[in-house]
Amino acid sequence: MAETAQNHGAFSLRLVTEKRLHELAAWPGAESALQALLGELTARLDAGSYLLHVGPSRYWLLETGQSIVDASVIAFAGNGLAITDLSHSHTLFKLSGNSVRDVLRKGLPIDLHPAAFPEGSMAISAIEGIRVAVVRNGSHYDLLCPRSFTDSLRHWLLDAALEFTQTDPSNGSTR
Amino acid sequence: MSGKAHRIDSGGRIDRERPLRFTFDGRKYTAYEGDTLASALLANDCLLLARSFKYHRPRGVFGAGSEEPSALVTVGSGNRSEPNTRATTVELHDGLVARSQNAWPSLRFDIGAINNLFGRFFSAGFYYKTFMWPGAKGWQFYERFIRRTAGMGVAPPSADPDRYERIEAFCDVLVVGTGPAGLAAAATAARSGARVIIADENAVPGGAIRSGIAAGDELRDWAAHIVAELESLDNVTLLQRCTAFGYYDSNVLGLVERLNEHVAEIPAGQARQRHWVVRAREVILATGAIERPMLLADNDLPGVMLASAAQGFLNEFAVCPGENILIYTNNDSAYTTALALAPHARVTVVDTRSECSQALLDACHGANVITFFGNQVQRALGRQRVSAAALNDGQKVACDALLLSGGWTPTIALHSQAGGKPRFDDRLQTFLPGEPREPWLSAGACNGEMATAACLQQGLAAAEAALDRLGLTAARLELPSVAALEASAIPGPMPEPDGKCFVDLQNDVTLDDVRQGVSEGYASAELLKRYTALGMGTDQGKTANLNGLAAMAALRGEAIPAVGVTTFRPPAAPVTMGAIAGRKHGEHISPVRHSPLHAWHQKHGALLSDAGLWKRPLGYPRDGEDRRAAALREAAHVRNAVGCCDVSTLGKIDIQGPDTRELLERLYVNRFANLAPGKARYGVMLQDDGFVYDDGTTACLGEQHFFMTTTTDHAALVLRNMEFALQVTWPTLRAHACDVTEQWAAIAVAGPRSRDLLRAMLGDAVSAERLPFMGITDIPWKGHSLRVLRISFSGELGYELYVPADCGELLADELVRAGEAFDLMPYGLDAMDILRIEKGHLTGADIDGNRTLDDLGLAAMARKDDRFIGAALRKRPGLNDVQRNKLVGLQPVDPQQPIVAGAHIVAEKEPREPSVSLGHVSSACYSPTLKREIGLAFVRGGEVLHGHTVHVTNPLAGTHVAVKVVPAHFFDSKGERLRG
Repeated sequence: MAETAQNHGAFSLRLVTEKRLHELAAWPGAESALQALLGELTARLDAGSYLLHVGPSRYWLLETGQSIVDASVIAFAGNGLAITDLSHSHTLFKLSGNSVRDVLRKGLPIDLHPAAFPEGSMAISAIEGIRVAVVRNGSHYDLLCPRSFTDSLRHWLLDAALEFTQTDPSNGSTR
Repeated sequence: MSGKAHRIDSGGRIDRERPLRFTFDGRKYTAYEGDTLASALLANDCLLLARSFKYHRPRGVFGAGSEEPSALVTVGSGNRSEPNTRATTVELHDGLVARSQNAWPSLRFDIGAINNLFGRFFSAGFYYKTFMWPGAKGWQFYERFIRRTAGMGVAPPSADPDRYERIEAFCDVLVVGTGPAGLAAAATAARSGARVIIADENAVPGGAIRSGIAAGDELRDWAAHIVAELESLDNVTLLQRCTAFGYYDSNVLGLVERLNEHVAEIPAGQARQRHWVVRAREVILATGAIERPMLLADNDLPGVMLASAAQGFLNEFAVCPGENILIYTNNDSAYTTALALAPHARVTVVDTRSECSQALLDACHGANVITFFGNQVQRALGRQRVSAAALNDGQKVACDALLLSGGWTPTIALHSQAGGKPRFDDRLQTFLPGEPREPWLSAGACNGEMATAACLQQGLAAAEAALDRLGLTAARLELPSVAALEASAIPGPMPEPDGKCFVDLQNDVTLDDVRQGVSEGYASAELLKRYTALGMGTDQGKTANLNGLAAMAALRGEAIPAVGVTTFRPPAAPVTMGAIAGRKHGEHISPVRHSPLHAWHQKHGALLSDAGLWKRPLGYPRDGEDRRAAALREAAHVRNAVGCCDVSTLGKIDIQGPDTRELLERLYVNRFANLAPGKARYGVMLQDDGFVYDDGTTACLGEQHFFMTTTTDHAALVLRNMEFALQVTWPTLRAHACDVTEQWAAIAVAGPRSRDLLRAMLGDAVSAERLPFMGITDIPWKGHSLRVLRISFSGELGYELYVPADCGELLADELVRAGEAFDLMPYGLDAMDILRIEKGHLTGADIDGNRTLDDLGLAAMARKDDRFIGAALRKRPGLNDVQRNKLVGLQPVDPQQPIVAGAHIVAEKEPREPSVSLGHVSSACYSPTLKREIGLAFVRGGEVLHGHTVHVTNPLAGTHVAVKVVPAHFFDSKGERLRG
C-alpha cells in the first residue's frame, strides 16, 4: 500500500493513495437484489475493506486490500443496481494517536465517545464545511473526504493537532 | 489597622508564598498568586479604577464577578490588549499590564468629568433630541464626536495573534454552575454513570461556598470532597473558567473556556480560549443569584459595593474593603457579611426593616456589629471614594466602605433563552425561570431558593429527574448539614434621592432617566431599555435590571410584572470574537477546493483565482504580460491553433436505470427520450417557477446509462434537485444519480488543430467520422478509460477529455508533450470567457436566475408536451411580456471604447440622473478576433432593438458609451467551425 505519512506523536495522519471505492445502489423495486449483493460481498470482505451505508438503498464499498469488485459483481449493474466507480473521487485519511478524538472534536459534530461510536461505527458529517465520512476502524479513524478538499482538510487536521504535537516551548506566545 | 481597604494576614485562597508584580496605569503593584486584578488593587487600597461611560464619574469595584458594571479596564498591550474587561474576572499573573479607559489625561483628573457638571442636560434621549439639526444629516455629523467622548475601551488595531479553538462536545447531563446545587446535581449524575459536563465561570468551584455566602465547615469539606471526586471520574468533565453564554435549540449550549487568560505565557500550540458547543441530553441550570444593590444618591462612588462582593473578597482573597464599614440592607443575608467582616473592621448595619430576628441581633451584639433599624441611607458622601453615608434621619455615619444588600436576583438568562417568559415571585420580589422549552431543570438560587440546604436538595432532585428521563437509576448522595442562617428578601423602599442615583452604573442610567422615560410615555421595559440603554453592555444589567423595573413600576403605579421583563438573548456574558471565530480566519476562513490539475497549474505559472471554493486558473501570463494580455493571447491562440483548459470543476453526474430517459425528459425542457448511445445533447433546466437555472450536456453511454455535466456553479444544486425529484417527487422512477464530479479530471481541447492533436495522441477513435459533433466515446488509455466528448464552449472545433482524477496530470502532461507539434497552449477562465462571449454562449453571469427561455433566445428548445419541471409556471403572463429584458449583443460605436458588465443601458445620449434603465450588460470583453469591444446584455424588448443605438452608462466610472444593439452571436453564427 503506497502511503504518505505525517507522524506527529500524539496524532498521526496517513493518506491512503491505494484504495478503491464503489457506490452500490438500487433503484426502486431492486432493493432485494442489493441486499443479496451486499450479503455476498460481506462474506468476501477482507480486513482492509468495509461497506458504508451512505443513504437509502445506497452503500459504498471501500477496499484497501484485495479488490472483490470483479466481473461477477459488475454483472449486477443494470439489473436493478447501479454500480459506480468513485475510487478517484474521495481521499482516505487514516488518523490515529492518543489525541485523535480530541483533534476530531474540534470540528466534527459527532459523538466519538466509545459508548456512542463503537468499533465499526460510521457517520456522514462535515468538518468546517467539508463533507466527510468517518469510520472507527480498529485503533484508528478513517476519514473520507471529496478529493478537491484534500489539502484543506489535511491542513485543518494538522493545525488542529498542533496543541498535542507542538513541543517546542519557544514557540509559545508571551502575553 | 492603618489602611482602609487592606489585606488581612490569613485566610483566602491566595498563595502568600508566590508574590506577583503587575502594573495599573503604569504604576507598579504587588499581590499574590490567586488574586484577581480587582482584589489585588483593593488590597493595595486602590479604589479608583475607571471612569463612567457618559459622565466620566470616578468608579471602583462594585461586584466580585461577571456582574461587575463599573470596574472595566483594558488588559494587555499591543495587539493582545483586550478592552472592557471586568477587573473582577481578570486573574492576576506576574507582569500583567492593565490600564484604565475612557479617561484623559489621567484617571484621577479626567477632563471628561465636566460632563458630570452638565449632567442635567445629558438625560435619556438627549443626543437624539439635540443633535438632529440642521437637516437629516445632522446626526451623522455629530455622532463621531459624541462617540469619542462617551465610550469604553479601544479595540486593538491589529490582528489578534492568539489561537482560539472550538470543540464539539456531547454529554448526558450538562450542569451549569458549581455552587451547592450544581455540585449536588453533578455528583449524583456522575455516580449514576451518566456522562457529565459541569462548567463554572470562576477559577475555582464552589459558587456561594467559594465566596463564603453559603458558610459552614461541613459544607466546605463536602464541596471539596465532591470536587475531588468529580475531577477523578472518567465520565465527568469539570470545566473551570468556562462561561455558558448561549442556550440554543435542540439542547445545544455555547460555552467559552478561558484556557490561558491567567498565565503570563501561553504554552506552545495552546489556545487562549476554547468555544465549547455542547449537545446535552439533559441540562441542569444551577446558575445561582446575584445580589441586588440598594438605591441611594451617589451610589457609584468608589468604595460602594455589593455586600456579597465584599464577602467574596474577604473569603477568597483575604481582602477587607475598609476599616470602617457600613452595610445598607433590607434583608438577612447582609448579616452574614457583617459577621464575616466584623473581626477585621468596624461594621455598622443600616436596615430598612424595623427589626430582625433575635438570633441575628444576638450575633451582631456578640461581634460588636452596630445596627440601625427602620432607617435608610440617602446618600454616599465623598470625593473619588466614599467617606461617609447620610441617613434619612439626618445622621452622617463615617465609613470607608459602603456595602449594599437589597436581596437576590436569580440568574435566569440561560433559562430564559430556552424557556417561556420568566414569572414574577411576590415573596422574593424577583423573576424566576419560566416554563422550559428545552429539557432543562433548574436548581438552587437561580430557582429562587436562597437556603443552602434547600439548594443542595434541589440539585439532587434535579439530577434524579434528569436521570429518570435518561433511563438511569440515581445513585445515592449524602448531603451536608448546613447552618440555618439564610437570606430572605424584602422589597427595598424606592428612594427619592437628592443627587444622581444610578440604577445602571455601566450605562450611567439614573433614577431620573427612568423617571423621564416614564413621563415621556415609555410603558414597557423593552422600550425603556432602548431609550436609556438600561441593561445593555458587558454586564447586561445583572445588577441593574430589577431595580430599573421596580423603579419603572413604582413610577407608573403598577406591579413589576406589568412593565415586563426584557428578553434575554445570547450571549449572557461577553464572548470575544476570537472565540466565536475559532481557527476560522486567515487561510482557514473557508475550505478551498483544488482541481486534480492544481499542481499542474502551479507548475505552469497559472494565475489562480477563487471561483466559489475552487481555485481556478484565470490564465497563464508569460514574462512581462499582465492578466489582460495573457487572456487576449490565449483566446486568439485557440481561434488560430489549439488550446487546453481545465474543466474538471464542471458538475458531473452518473445516472443509471431503466427510467433515466424519463427522468431527463422531466428535468430538461428539451427532448432526451431519443438520445442515442454515443451521443450527447445540450439541455436546459428550469426551476419550478419557470426561470432557467442551469444548462449543460447529457451524454448517453448505454441504453440505461447517462453522463450529465452541469455548470461549476450549479453542480451541487442540480444534484440536489435531482435527488429531491427521485426521492420525493417521483419516488417510483427507476433511476439512480451518483455525483462523480470529483471522480473525473476534465480537460477541454479546443481550436482548429485540436482534432489533429488528438488523432496524433489517441488515433482514429477521434476522427471526424467516428466522433462527430456531440459524439462521445470511451477509449482505453494507459490502463485507464479516457472519455472523449466532442463538444465546444469556445465555438471552435473542440473536445472534452475525461480521465479518472488521479490521471489528470498525466493526461495534461501527455497533451503538452503531444501538443508541441501543434503549438498547444493552455488557456484559463479569462480566455474562455472571451471565446464564449464572442460566440454568445451563456454562463451564470447571464443565466442569473431571472431569465426565461425566451429571454435567453432558447424558447424553441422547449418541448410542446410540457412534461418538464417549470413548464406550468413559465407560462405566467409576466414571464411572457414582450417588454421583458432579453438577450442581445452590444457593439460600442467606437470599437475601442470598453463597456463593463453590470452597467445599465439607457436611451439618453448624455448621462442624466435619474434615467430609465432599459436593461444591463451581463458580460463584456475585448474580442481579439473581432478586434473590438463587445458585450452581451439584457435589453427591454430584445431583438426589436437590433440595429438601434442605445447607451451604456456607468456613473461610478463616469462613462457613457454609445452602443449598437446586435444579435448575441459575434462570431461564426452558423457554427461551422465547431461542427467542422
